[in-house]
Amino acid sequence: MRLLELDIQRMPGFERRGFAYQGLKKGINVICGPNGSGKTTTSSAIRALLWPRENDNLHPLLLRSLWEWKGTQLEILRESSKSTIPATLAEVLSSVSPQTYILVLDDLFNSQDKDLARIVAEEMRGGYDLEPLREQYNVPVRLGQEEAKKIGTIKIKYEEIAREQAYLLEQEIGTTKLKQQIELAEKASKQLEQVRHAIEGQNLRSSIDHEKVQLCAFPPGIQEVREEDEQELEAILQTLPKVELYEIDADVFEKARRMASNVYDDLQSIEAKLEGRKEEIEGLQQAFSEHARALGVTVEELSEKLIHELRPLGELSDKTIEEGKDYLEEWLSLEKNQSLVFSLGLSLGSVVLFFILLLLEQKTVPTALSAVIALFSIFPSLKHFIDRKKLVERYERLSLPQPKKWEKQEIVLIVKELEEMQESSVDQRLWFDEIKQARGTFIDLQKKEGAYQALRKEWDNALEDFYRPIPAIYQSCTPKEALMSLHEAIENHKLHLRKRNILARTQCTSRDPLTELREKKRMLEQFKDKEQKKIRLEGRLEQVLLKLNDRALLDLPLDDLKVKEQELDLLSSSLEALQAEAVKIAQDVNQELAQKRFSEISKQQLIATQEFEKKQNLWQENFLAQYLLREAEEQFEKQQRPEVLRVASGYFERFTMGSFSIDTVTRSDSGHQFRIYDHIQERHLSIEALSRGTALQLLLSIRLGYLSIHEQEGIKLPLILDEVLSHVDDDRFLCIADALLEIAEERQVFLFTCQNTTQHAWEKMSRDRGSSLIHVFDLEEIQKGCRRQRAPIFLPEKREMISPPEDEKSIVEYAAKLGLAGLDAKLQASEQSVWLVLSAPQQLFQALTLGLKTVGQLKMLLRLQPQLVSDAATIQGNIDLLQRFLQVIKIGNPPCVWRDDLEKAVKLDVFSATFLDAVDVCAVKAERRADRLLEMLKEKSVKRFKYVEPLEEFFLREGLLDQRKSLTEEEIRSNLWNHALTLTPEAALYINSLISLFVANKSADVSSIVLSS
Amino acid sequence: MGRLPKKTTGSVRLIAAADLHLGRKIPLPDALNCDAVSPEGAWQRLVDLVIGEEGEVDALLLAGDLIDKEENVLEAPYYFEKGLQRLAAKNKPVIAIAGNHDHCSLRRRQKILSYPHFYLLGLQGVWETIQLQFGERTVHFEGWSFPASEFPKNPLSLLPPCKKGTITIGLLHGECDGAKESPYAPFTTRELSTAGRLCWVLGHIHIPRILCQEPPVFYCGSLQGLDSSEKGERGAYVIDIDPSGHVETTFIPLAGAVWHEIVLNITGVDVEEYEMLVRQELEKSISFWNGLNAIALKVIFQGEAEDMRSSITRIGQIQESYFSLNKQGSLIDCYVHLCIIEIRPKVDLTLLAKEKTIVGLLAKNLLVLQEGQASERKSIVVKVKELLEQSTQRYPHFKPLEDDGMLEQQLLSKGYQMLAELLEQKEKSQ
Repeated sequence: MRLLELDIQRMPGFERRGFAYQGLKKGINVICGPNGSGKTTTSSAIRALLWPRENDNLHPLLLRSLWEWKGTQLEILRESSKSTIPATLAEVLSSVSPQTYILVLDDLFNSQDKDLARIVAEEMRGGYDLEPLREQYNVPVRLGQEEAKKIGTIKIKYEEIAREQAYLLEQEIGTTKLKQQIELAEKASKQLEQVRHAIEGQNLRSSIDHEKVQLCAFPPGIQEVREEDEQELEAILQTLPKVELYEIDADVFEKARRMASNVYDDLQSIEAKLEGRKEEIEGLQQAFSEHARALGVTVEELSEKLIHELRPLGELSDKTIEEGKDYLEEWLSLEKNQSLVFSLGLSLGSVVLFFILLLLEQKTVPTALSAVIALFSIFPSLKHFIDRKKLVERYERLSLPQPKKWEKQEIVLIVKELEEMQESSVDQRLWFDEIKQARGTFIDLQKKEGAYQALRKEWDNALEDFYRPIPAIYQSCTPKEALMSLHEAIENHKLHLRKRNILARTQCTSRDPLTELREKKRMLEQFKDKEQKKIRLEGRLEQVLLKLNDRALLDLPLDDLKVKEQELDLLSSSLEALQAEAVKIAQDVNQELAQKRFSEISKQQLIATQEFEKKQNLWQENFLAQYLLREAEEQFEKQQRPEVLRVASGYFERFTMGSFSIDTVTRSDSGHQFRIYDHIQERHLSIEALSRGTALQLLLSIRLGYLSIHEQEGIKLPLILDEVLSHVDDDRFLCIADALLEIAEERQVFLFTCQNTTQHAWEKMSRDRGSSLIHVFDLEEIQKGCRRQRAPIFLPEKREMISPPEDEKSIVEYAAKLGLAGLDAKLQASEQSVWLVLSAPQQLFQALTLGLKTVGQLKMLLRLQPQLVSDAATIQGNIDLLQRFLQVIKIGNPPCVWRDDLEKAVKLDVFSATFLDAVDVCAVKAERRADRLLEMLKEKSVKRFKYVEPLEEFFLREGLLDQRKSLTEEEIRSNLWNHALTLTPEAALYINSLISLFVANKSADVSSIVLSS
Repeated sequence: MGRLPKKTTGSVRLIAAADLHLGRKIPLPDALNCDAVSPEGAWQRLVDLVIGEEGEVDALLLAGDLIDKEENVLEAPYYFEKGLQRLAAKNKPVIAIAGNHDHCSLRRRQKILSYPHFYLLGLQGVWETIQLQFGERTVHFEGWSFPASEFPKNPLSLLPPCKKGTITIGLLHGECDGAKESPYAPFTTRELSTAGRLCWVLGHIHIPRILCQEPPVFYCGSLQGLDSSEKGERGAYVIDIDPSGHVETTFIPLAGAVWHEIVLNITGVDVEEYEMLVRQELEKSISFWNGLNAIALKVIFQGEAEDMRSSITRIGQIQESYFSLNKQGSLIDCYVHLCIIEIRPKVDLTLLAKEKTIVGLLAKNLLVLQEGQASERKSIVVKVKELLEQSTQRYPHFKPLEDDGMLEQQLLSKGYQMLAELLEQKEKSQ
């Protein structure tokens, strides 16, 4: 295959005007030109033409070429990714590697880190360097050792912990037995207590019995002896007569005494009165005897006279006598009244008449008259009766003896006598007075004696009353004596009773009870002590019995109990130790559980295993990679290397004029080992020993050897050699040139050089040899020849006319004019129309002229040949922005869209509508999310310590929290408003809503959220 | 926590769970709420569910492997005990059997056995039955426990015939429908379904699975996915026995963390958008439940990458990264625990394989691995495994991967990465 013409209109990185090779020949085409004149561009262009798939995204690219292939001419055009290379040819070419045909000296020696052997080996493989891959997939010898060791260490620790925990578990299980033991010990302890109680009970019982026996030895009744008993008994015994006859009926005596006592008082008063009367009577008798003496009579004569003769005299006073006289007169006058008899008779007669008349049933006047007469005649009788009655009453009022005995005659006599006395002599009158006084005394005496006798009778009655209840034995006594005796008898009886009580109570039965009592009293203290002791013992026994559940134990022999006590004591003494052990085990287990050592070590084990597995995985992956690499390499070495080396060695020998040949190549893990045989020195050399020129010739020979073996039948692509002969001396140049000429017989060779010496050498050789195979081209000449404006060579079917911008001020208008598509949310960023990331119409025109239609193409150009693009940084920024916006549109959840972006986007009015729609959607979502997240943050702030970190991380990750400083409300307002002014009404509305949202949630977080969205 | 369906009057409600593996550490970082995503957390939630007022649960059935390791004799049984304490306080009967993991640890901790209403059946290696009264209904529970960590015989051969007219629920731990020589009490679904029991609650297999509808025979699955192999929902089954004796089973997810896997095709996707894609795919594919605290995510990246290097770098950044999902007002932490790179460079492998270069040879080998005959692939795998075995002489602590499929996948993945790197070399050299 041979290149005839090559028209390079545009190549990325080649800023100069395009140029064209014409008349390229079979053989060696030596292309000379200074650096930057287009030599490398030429080789790249050939490559881009033949292997369009390899670099399908080169911009700007516009190439045309004419080839001779299989006897026919073939035009291959290339514009950006489009190529007109026939599929059959493309397929053939795909099996060969382009770098096989391009040998660039600089490239070969530029890699400073590569030793020659490696370069040679790389060359031998057709330019592929396997060393970096080997290094990349190298498995260090110690890989995973540390991790494995760590796993081992952890395993030991793990087993240790497991063992310890198993031991603890065993112990815990052991606590079941321990518990049984504890239960036994506890039981024993309780039994021991019981047994001890029983022993104590038994001891107490015997002590009580002993005390009882001792108490019994005391005289009976001792317990009843009281402190006062002795004194009392002594007093009683002193008081009571020796002869004890006190068995009386106490009730009867008491009653008698009471009754007699009552009567006795009366008796006493009567006696006192009798005494008084007696004295009065004696006084009167004295006075009377005086009177008798005065009258010169005996007392008896005077008494007789007075009783029979003189009695009434003394009884009347003068006044009474006077009154008596009056009365008498009245009485006499009344008696003398005769009318009374008449009236009585008349009335009686009248009544009788009346009744007769009534009987005769004579209701006549005489009857009535008789009735009236009877009534009138009765009247004087009635008057007389009334007067008499009044007179009697008057008399009665007088202190006069009843006139019953003293008839009116006597009165008359008396009155007469009185009148006589009044007229008698003084002596008589004196006598009469004496008589009168004696008579008074006599009457008094008689009266007093009468009263005395009555009193005396009363006394007798009382005495009789007194003696009635008195027992017979005291009947002969005086009342006083009787009463006293009675009292004494009763008192003695009481004493006797008390004595008897004391003796009975104290059970003193001896003849000398007092001594006995005294003895008992002396022993009482001792007795009480004993008794107290017994009571104490009994009380204690009661307590013990209360504690003792099994009374039967009390009946066991004490010795048995003591044996049992010893046994139980032994058992229960271990209780504390056992309990302590159980507690310790429980503590140990709890401590172990709290430490979570097993969990911790398991985690460590897991982490270590994960680490190890990572290493193991790395090992395996790298091993597999190494395997694949080795396989390919071995296959290559096996199939290709010997032949390549054989041919290469031939070339090498030729190039070095027989000085060197490749002897052996061995391959080890560290790479290839080349041995070169030095024919002149007759020794083996290592490849490093070769000079730079020789090394270059070695590389050239290997490339030629590789090519001879690897090229597919019938292709024979041109060989491009860039400065490969720059380090060659003249002799060797000729050798190499010869060899190349040989090659050029069959294959077109392009030789690029910037060195005039090389150019001249070739020109000289061409002249000397007259070879038609050597054609020297001066690149600068070629380019000069191409200065005229050439018509662009677009691919015929794709060629489009692009009208340059005219009046269009904005890129939007220009894009609209060209009918370019706008932002399509469904497409990837790289598929979007290129104008979206450009700013000026002119820029767009240039881009389109360069064949750039999509952002992707522009991106590629920026990557490959940024120097072709003016304002590359801005465009790159716009592309990034576009990518982010598309993300906004697609998911409404941008990783982060900053405020700067917003500003930029606003400045880029191409985005405004679409972008703002997208941002709007995003913002609404973000608002909702922000609200929700804030809610959650609030809700979870209670558990802040648990959740806040992940939440904050989440916020940051989601781009919802801005770490930059918070803006003030003012700043936000002004910023947003500034933007709003340049935006559509909808956008302004949206900005407003943002502001209101901000105002509603005056928190820095919210402002950041809003802005970042 | 899942919500329980309404209980009908007169019915008996039981909750069945198994494979608690208390004490097992979930290989997730501490940053995720560890308490919630641990087996202990799930056990707590299970207890909450049983003692909760709402569900009126009559009893809890536990089909073995309650404790993860026999040597964890204190701590894990202690956690178990704490739950039992709460259940005992509410008089909820717990009927359990021992599995191959805890055949010893439960019976060793005497304290557990002494809990009221806790019945550990079949400890002597023979079938044991207890009967419990729920209202007017008597239910028999029949269970068999592992006598040792392995039991290579069919425990059903010891199963006594079912008493007629009784309602019996069987509890069994072991391998159902597996290898006959399995050391884990092998038995079959057929044997269970014809044994005349009303229902069979099984443990051992960690995937909740209904083996037979009539009578219900099911594996409860682990209560909490214990590692990345235990993907998807984990929880307990609610068994409702209605007055007519009909049994209804409902699965209630209880796990605090779920292991989830998504496959992403990144062909044509910008590397910057991977994360977003992960999020979208996750939201699309996962089901949430109350109590779900964390999602441990495995992402398999597939498809063709424009730029392998940047894609792999990006994927590397995604691996072990966190993000949160807001689901019904609660935040669910998501953790990408593993990214599997199955992406390939955007090259035509067939074309590349034609090159006689080293890249061509590599491509050829990859082509065999990708599209070659099974025997060819097998021979590569066998060879690689042999070499890996040999390599263990130098790295005695490493053990090669057993899974051939994974090995193939790793080979391909690494091959593609290398291919991309070699092609990049070529591109750079231009």
